[in-house]
Amino acid sequence: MKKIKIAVAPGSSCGGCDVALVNLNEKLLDITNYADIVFWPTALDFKIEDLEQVNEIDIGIFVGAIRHKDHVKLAKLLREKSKIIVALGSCACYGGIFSLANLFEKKDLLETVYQKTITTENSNGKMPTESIKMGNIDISLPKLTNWCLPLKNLIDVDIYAPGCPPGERVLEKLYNIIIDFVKNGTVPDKGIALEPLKTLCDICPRKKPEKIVIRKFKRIHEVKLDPELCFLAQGVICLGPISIAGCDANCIKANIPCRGCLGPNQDIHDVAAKFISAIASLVQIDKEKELEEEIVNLIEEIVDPIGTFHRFTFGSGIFNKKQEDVME
Amino acid sequence: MKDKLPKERVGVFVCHCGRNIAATVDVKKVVEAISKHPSVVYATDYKYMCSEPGQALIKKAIKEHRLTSVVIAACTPSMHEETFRKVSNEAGLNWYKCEIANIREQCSWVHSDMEKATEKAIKITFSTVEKVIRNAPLEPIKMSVKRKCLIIGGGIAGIQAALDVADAGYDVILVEKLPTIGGRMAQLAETFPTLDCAQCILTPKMVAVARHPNIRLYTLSEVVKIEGFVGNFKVTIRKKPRYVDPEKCILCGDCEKVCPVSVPSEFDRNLKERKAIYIPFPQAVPASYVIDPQTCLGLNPIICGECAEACEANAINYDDSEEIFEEEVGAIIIATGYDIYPKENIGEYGYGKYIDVIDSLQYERLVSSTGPTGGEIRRPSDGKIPKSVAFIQCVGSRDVNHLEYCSKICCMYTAKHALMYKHLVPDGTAYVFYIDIRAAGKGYEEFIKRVQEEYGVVYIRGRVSRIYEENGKLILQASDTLTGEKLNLSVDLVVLAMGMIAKKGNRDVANIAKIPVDSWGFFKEVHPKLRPVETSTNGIFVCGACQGPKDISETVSQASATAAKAIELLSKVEIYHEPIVAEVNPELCSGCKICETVCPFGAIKVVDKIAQVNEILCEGCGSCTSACPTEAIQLRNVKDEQIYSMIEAILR
Repeated sequence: MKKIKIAVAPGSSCGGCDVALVNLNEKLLDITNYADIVFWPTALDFKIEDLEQVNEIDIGIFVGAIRHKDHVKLAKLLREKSKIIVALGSCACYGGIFSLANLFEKKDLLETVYQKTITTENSNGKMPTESIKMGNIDISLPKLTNWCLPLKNLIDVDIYAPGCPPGERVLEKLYNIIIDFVKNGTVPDKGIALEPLKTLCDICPRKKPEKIVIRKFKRIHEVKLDPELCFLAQGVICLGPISIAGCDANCIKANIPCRGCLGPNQDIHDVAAKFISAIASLVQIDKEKELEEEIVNLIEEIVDPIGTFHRFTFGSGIFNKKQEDVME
Repeated sequence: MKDKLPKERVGVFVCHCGRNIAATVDVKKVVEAISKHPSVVYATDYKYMCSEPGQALIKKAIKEHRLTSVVIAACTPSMHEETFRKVSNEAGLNWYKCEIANIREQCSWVHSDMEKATEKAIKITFSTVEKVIRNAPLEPIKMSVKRKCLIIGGGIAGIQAALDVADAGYDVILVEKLPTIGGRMAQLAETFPTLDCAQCILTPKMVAVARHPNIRLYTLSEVVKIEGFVGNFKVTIRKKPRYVDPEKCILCGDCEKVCPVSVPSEFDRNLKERKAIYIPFPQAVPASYVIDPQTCLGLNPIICGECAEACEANAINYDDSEEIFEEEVGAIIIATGYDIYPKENIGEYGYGKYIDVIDSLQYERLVSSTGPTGGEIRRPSDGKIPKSVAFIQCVGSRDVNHLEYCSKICCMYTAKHALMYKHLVPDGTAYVFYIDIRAAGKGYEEFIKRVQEEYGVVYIRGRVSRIYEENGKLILQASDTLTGEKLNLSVDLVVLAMGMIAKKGNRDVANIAKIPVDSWGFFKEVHPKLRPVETSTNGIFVCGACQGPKDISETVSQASATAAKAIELLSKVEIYHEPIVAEVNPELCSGCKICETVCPFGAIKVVDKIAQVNEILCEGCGSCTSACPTEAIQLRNVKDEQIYSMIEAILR
């Protein structure tokens, strides 16, 4: 049996997804029986030139979001050479936490980081430049793209393996896809690497009352949580109903509500808008008629709605309409 | 949207609606533009699409061009959707393959710029074409009907509706909260403009209810739960104990004589006292005494057993208890009536401080021949006949601080009040303070004229700003806005024409029946003009003042209208339910229960982590589809993909 070639390319990433891959442990060794890992800069010293020299890759895995021009170049190169592209982790799939930066323009981000934070000492107001000449050497930094984007906005993606980082269920499915491809040459269907594609409520062990009515929104430090009752029924925002069940409900079992790191099980226009619509429907639903104004006030009490409902998905939300210029 | 569509052949028919549409929308341009849509194979315009020739044109085109869907660009679907669906159905199309693009109410009527309105009409039509090509052919859902009608409220509205439905041969259950039927009308002295004695025209109807073989009357009862759906409601009724057996009670009144407890009579608006065992008024139906458990000395023969001892008929039973039972009905009529605005809310008129400031219903009792004074008009403070009376209209009504709406009946009943006063005290003076006189109704204006001219009632245009007492007289500070004069008027009695308000209990009934109320708490009809007695829940109808202020004749007409609607429903062998209902994709549904929580009709139940829709209960409101976080629940023919493609067509 001929070994296949796998490349793992990093975008804007914290490295957690690479660690998740390493956490495959023996399975990773197993994979190396079937595959050569021809590119994985996070694990070994690879440069983009190494990727350029590889003729053909079977499975190209991209980790992280698109944040600068090198990511663009890398992603395009990977697509060009790979038969199957896997977006690994929620940053690659949806833009991830990094994409919350899209709430601001690039200029504001740089100013904040280099000039405005309390801990920054930059009395001359110096800003990073993209290139500098030191003696005879040109040193350059990759130019930031205007927006932080998920991989799909740039290239065609075959498999989505979301999660922050991807959990066991997703990785196992991904592993099976790879093995099936190697052994039987099966080209996987496009889509999310998980079956069945249910949301967290499907595997959640908590009890739901007859009606889930939210009286007041509470943050987890404001309430003594009943470990057996649905979070929403306790007024605690839990993104379980809209997030893929690819995680074994680990947070839920630790009495922490779901933050939605796996994203939705459907190609939804805007995860936050959809979930706000869902959750707003539950606020004092049985007293809806009497409390109209009060309900609006209750909903306004939600702290940081975009950060809460779009924590991992802002880059693929409806705001991405203004992000099209990355293709430039 | 990358949905795969079967090859559709759409026909578009653009209506001029005379000049209603054509004056603002260039219909020819709409036809020209829509013809370019890839699915449209035929498009035309016509002066009146809803006319016979217009309908014939549609039928002919469907056959000739082998159309698979049609779009009628015309008025609102609530006007002619049924007409056009029938037409296309007759030509062989499925009922749901015809859609209306509303280019009148949502376009031509609200715009004046022809170019822009035409552009908008084109977009609306395009968007409707995008919808109709994604519509699935559907068949209506069939159901059986329980041939029984529930009527909530035993006032004149409920009585009339009950008699009409029962006379048509259907069983009626009439539920009344109080010990007797009759409602507000029974409290009135006379009715405008004919001056019929209210009780004389009402009591025969009350008796008819009591005797009707098809009517089962439950007084002291309330509906506590309504489940089910049109044609098949399951209703839970709570009947409170009466403690007196109406079958045995012979109305001798011996019990009343010995009862040691006296409390103000609600029926007489506290102008008289009644006992703890009482009959609200002599013609009450059922004709029986009742014990008020709140004031009776404990319903305990050890403390007091006077009435039971005095009752020779052995009708009194202190052990009577509450009953809860279920009934199955096909239709429900709500006729819960009204209250009057609390006088306490209008401090400047001194209610509560001056007992000779009374409200309109107290006045009715005061001049009623069955009232506390036996029909003589005597003021509450000293029992003297008032030599001058001021009637103040619009108390609460048409006032931004109280009720913004007009209560509709006060102009007329105030005129009646003044006239009755002049009948009883011919040498007395009656003043009426008014803002305007609204006397729209048959014989109403003439009635007002008669009161002003024949009876010499003094009409003063202006509001009273304050009332205070001085030497046993009530002094009104007011201004006459016609002369500009300031007035200080001294009278013996003041009658406040209180506005009509929705009963507090309306909101509870609304929750139980799952029907909407407006911001004032009156029940909301589906369409104020064309469906005035239907509610958004099929099979539930409303009539009378619980739907909005109205007088007796309007109430009675509305009651008969609801009866006709109920009879129409009950007479059907089978009824059909719109198939535009919610549908669950079990592969995406994870049982989060959000849909079940938001469904206002109780149509969704999550079973084994998958939502299930009871199609018959579902009214297709779409609450679940917008709340579902995974788009797993969709409304047939109003699917997300349809809505998105409609939006895309409009944004194009």
